[in-house]
Amino acid sequence: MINYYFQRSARAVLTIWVVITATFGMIRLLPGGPLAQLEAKLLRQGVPAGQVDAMLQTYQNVHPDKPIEVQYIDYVVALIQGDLGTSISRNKPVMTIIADALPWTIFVMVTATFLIFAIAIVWGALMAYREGGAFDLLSSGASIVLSSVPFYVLGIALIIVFGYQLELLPTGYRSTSGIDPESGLLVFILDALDHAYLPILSMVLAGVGLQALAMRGNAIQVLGADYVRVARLRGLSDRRVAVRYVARNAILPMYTGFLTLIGFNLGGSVILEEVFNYNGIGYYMFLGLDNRDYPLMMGIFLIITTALVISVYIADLTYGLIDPRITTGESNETY
Amino acid sequence: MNIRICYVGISRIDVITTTFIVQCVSWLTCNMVENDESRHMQLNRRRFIELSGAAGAISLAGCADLVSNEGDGTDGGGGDGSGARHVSMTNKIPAELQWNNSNPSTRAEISRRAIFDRFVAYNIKTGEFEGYAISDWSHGGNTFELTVREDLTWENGDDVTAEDVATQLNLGLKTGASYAGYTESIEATDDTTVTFTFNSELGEQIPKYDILAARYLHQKASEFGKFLDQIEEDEEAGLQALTEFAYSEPIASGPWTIESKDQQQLLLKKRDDHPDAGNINFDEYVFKYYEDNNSVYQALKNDEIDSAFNLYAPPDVVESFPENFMQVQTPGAWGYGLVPNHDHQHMGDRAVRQAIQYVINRKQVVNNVSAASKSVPPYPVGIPSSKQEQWIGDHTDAFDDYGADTAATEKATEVLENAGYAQQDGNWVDSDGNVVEVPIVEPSGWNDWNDATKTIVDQLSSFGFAASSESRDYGTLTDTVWPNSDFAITTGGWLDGVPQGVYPYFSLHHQLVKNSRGFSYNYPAADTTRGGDRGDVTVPAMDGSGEQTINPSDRLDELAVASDEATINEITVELAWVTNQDLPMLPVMEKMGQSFIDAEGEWSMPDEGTDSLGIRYPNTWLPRTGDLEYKG
Amino acid sequence: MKPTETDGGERPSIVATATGEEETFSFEYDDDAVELTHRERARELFDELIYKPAIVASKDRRTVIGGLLFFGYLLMGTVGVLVYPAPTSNQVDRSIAPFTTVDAPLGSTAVGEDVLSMIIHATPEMLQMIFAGGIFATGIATLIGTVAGYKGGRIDRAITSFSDAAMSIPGLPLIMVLAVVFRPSNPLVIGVLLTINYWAGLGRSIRSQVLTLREEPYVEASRTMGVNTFRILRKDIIPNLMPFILVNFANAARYVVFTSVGLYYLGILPKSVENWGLQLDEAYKNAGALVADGNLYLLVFPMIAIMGIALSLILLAQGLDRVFNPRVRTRLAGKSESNADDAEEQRSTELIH
Repeated sequence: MINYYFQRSARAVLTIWVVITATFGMIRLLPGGPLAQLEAKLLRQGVPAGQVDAMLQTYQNVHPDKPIEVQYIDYVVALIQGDLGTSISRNKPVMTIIADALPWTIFVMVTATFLIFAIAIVWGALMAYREGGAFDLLSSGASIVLSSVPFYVLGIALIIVFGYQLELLPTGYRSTSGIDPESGLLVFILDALDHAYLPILSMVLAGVGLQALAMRGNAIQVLGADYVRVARLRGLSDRRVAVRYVARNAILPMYTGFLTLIGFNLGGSVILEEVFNYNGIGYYMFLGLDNRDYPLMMGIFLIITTALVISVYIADLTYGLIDPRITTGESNETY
Repeated sequence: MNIRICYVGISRIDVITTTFIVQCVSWLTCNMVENDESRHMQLNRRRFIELSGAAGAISLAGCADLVSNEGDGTDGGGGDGSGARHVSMTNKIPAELQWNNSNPSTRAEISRRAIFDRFVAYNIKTGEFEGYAISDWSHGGNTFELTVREDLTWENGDDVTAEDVATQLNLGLKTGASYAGYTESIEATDDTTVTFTFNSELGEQIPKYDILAARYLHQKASEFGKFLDQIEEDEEAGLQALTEFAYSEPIASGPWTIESKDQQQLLLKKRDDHPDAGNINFDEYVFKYYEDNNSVYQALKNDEIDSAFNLYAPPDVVESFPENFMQVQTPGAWGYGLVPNHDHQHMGDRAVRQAIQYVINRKQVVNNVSAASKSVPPYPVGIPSSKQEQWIGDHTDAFDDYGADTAATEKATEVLENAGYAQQDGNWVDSDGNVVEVPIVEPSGWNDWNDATKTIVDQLSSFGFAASSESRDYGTLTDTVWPNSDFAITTGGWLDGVPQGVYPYFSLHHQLVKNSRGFSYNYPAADTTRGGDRGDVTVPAMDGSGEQTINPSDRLDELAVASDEATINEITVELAWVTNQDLPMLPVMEKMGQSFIDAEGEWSMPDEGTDSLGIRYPNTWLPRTGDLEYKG
Repeated sequence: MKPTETDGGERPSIVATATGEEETFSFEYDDDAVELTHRERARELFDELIYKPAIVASKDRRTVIGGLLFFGYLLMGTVGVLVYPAPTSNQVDRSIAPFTTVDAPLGSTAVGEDVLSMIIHATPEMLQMIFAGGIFATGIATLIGTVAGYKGGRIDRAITSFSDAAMSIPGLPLIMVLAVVFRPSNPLVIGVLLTINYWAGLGRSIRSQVLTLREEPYVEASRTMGVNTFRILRKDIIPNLMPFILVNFANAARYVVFTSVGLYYLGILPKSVENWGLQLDEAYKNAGALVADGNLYLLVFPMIAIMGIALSLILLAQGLDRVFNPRVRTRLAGKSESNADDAEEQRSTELIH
């Protein structure tokens, strides 16, 4: 068992390393460099071509590109020392940017994912209990329709309605100018919530439908299971049956889904945060891609990959603890 | 001040949230305030209110001290403008901005026009140069003298000296500024005079446009002199240091200086010791951060900002802005054109180029893309639209306009048939039966350009050319496609850009000899770096009799040193004629910079059509002359 | 999952043959021994794979609606593009409001393109992307999942490690980088690109299903008879997984729709084909539709097109789940089956994407 945990951990670390190496190579294949992207931007802004050329040419001449293997070794050495490099477009250490951005993304994504599951479990269970009834029918229909909308489309729609038309909520950014924890914790939290409502709402609305249906399916199966009937026959109270038997067994399979969904959503934050101009890591990922800001992109890849690996890792290790029916380890014989 | 701040501070929905939360946290918060952090909270309250403005603030039950709904006092600015502020926009995060022009990262583009004074005010409408930080200049064959404005000081009180200006211009010499090619030395000859010495004699216009027109006084010798020394010692290390230096606390030469910058706004305060401070009747200049155009549109729509700088806004959006906003359009001397590869089997054929130019309905392209931000060049020549009348106005009967607002298909057919092309099954083929393909390579993600290409492809296709478009990443274009001539025809700027491009010499040079984007378009008259050999070009004579052979490269050299008007005119018209007939590039549209300024609400502006609107960046220039005033 | 009656014709038969001295008795997988003519076999196959599911499907409203809706998109993408003229600039006046003229029923863009035509002509490429992505994702997942699950041991470990690594690459950012690097313009390639690591999660759950399946008595029987692995997978395991695979095909297809539109919207994929995401992008960036209320229709119609196809795919997935799920079927029929096994539960949780 201990051996299994050790192997599993080693594999997690190996995975991160492989992904980082692959990503490093891939990112360098991107056409154009940071300067070409900058040139395009300045030109379109109407900055005189001669000025742009002179500045970028000078910069390029004194900052020649190193061979890729040298860059890679430099990167890994720095990484081991905890240095993610300096963002080209933002002129700041990547670590600073990520430390600034990550909490916001985690806040939005974890809240959204948690809400998705909380709502889905209750809603799905209710549907299952009233299977075939009007509530079930309407709810199933609603959840299917909700799932057919991509979250970013929903996001745009919400921005238009609540941001531009009703002007109830901000149309973007994660907080308002000048408001930070120093301007009063309460004010800051309210402001941050204001900016997070729409991103979270669009994730939850678009994501809750399928999860609720999954929960409904699980619950229906459990409700029909022998042990539930036995429990009823034994005269256990409905409440006890609902909580001890049905809820527990129906929620169990969604547990891994929850962890992997958090990881999955971290990747999805690229589109979400771009739509909402929400300065989280997804936003910076897009920025990095747009500006060919290699260190910034690498840093964010590293963070998201690590998060994904860790959530799969936790799911693997804990699933056996939560559901005793699953045996951890590799007991399967080879055929 | 007419700023309706909806999101700064607390928005309406918070009131709902607050009622939920307030019960739980209010006593806690109040206790906190009373116990140990009261001083801290007081301070923060002031700061919060100062930044959040008048609207939206709510008062928390039982803890009224935390925030109050009193105004911030700036609203009531009186006639002298004390306390008034002008709110504009920036598209970069203010906290990260830096003002070193040689460092490409997080370089300030917009606020620099407020913080630094321009050398001269160049009026694109009248073509006049009006002295400013450089109050006077004189041209002497192979020398050029600049006189520094007398009463000008830096924000720390030091006088602006010739030494400062010379330092900045010498750094330009080291970093490839446009005048580096012909300048031998730049020296401060006395406290207020900077003298350029050129490699050889030069006409007056070129240094005027090159040195004066687009420059700002931004590098104080005490801050940047060390880089110049370093570069002289070890060029590479010096340039490295210069290009990496983040000038995040710039010393202002202009009438405003940085008071504070944070994630979402840059706050500038008026400098009372600036010589033009008396013309400015408001105290603060704010650049609020808006990430994308849509949020700027919204801000304008809600009258949240007083001006917007160089903002692309399509007609439908402009209509949604309040009426008090004036749209100021400034020609960009830059814009979408087509650059053919002159070595290409078909694109190298003048007849095909002319046919394409005939078929393109430029007016339709402009209207499709956005009539508000683009203009139609009346004649396809190497001279910006707004200057064509001035230079070739006397010869318009000779010049061909190729149908500015129509698809001149008959002319195109005639030209092609005379050159041995024929139509076969609806497609144009050459004498060998090869279909004439027009695959236009364009940068991806340049939406306005992509729309133009789409329109042109449709226009060419319906005429019978096998036209198509292929979008590539801009980096790929500049890295490989353009330098390697890996295209048959591609999109590109047909002018040299403001301000130089306004003067025909530069745009003709750009089209005929050495374009600034590095297109290896293999035009015979072009420089070797562009795939040519500075050769001759033969075109029909302008008077309609026979042909004339011209060497554009030589003629441009003559134009550069010419000083009498007749010669300048003659050469300019002659070379414009070559571009019109031979079409080294195919002009399609010219960019118009759009600025929006509150002209009737709380601000007063010169009337539309006034000459002073021809000076770029009116929202930072006009306050300096007192033309943009706060009126409450 | 239990084998259902649908497996009858596919099951290996046990045939006793006397082949002389070396072997007096052997198990052999012999199709000919089943005394069925080809036609009968074909009919049986038709019955089991198409007719019966179709009957069940037609009883499920979701499948019917989803199927009809999807058929509508198929029509739009095949006949529609032939009948309705392709979008070109200035084919109608610029910026016509919707529902004002038959020339452009859904209005036109600032470039004078018919919005309806843009929507219709984006369909074929979208369908190609869907099929390419769906087949690639489910195909790879099935291959990897069944081999890993069935073979177990070292091969399982190797494959699982590999797919874990693939799963740990952040999907969307990876796709974005690849899209910029390769600028794919062929819809089939785009479809595959979008599902470049989608298969990993799916493969994992197929593996866990196979783990249960391989312990089934009939699989064990085949194994004891010495039937080779590939054949067991093909004949015994995969047919039983088909329903699960089909459901996930629909889910992968929906994922392809969402991701492709999202990436076109962000301007990551090249504008080589018409796409609803490109329409959103144009409306957002060029027409300022968020602010200029009059241009909202430029956003709304492509949004409806996206929702419609996604809705059809979800309905199909949900309905198919029921069609192929014997437990749900029997339960509905009033018969109760034994308690749910893990594979069943796992299936439901895999609907997350």
